[in-house]
Amino acid sequence: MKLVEILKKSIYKIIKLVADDWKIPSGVAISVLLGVIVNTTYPNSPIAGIVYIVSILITFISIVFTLGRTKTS
Amino acid sequence: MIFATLASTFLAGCVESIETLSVLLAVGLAKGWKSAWVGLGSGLLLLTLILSTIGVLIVSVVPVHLLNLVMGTLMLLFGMRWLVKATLRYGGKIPFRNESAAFDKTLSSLGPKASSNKKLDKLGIATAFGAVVLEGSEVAFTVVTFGLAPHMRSYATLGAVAGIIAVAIVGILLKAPLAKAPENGIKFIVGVMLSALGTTWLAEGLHLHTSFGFASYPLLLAVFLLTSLILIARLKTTSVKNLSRFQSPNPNRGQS
Repeated sequence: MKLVEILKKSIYKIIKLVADDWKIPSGVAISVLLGVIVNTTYPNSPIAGIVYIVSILITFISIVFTLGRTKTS
Repeated sequence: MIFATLASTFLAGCVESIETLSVLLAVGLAKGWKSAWVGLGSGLLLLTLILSTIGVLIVSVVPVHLLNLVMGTLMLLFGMRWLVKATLRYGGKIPFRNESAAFDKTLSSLGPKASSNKKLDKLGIATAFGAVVLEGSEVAFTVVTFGLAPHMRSYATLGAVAGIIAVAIVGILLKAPLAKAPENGIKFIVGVMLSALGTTWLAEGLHLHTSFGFASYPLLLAVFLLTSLILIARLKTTSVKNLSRFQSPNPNRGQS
């Protein structure tokens, strides 16, 4: 394996770590967006934080269930 | 914060080293230990260069108030990916990684055994180097992310190096792939820790009030852990239901 090939694979692996598929990044982006919108509407309210955390958890749960249905061992 | 950094990077270092160890052992046995050591040394050198360059570059380019945002996002994406994978493995949806099989596969791909263990083998060096760089990039990524927090770079490096050394010592003593190491368990714990930390830091970066104050990290840790455990239990029962849907009832079953 050539050095350039290994470096290419390493860079690809790091990109894959952050955005393996679109589900996790888009779920996090939606959660952030919801949190920011609520925070702008109700400044300094704890509701924004709660909305953000709940949407992160919903993202996690929905991804596990979606992949759990499609992947079988 | 110091404990979370040390524990997360230590466990991340352990997980990736277990995978690298299988390849290094195969190279050592098939192509000689000299080739394995040269591949390991050159791979570590390259990783150190990348780590110091990227780490310094991010800290100098990204403004301090944006670091929380960057750190939180990276940690959450990285942690949730590990947590999803570990949860699916425990739930029986994807197979567990088999270190013995990975070791055998690498051993057979290296071809016939080298005639002399003292000579350097190009294929052996390249395989060892590739494994160290590819698997090590995940550890490097974790160290860079944790190292972005003020005064945490040395703790992040210390944790990861301690994890790598711990696995290396066990590997040298056993001289076999760590097939019985609870790799998925470690991945699960790191996934929970990184997801909880990432969620907290991202919220701080966005200036969102969580109303939990200082207790938000331990609370989120418990929430992620509990949610994952419930999901594992649910995934296990789902697979049984799905199987029963496709299996025809067999009246003779259990009578033989």
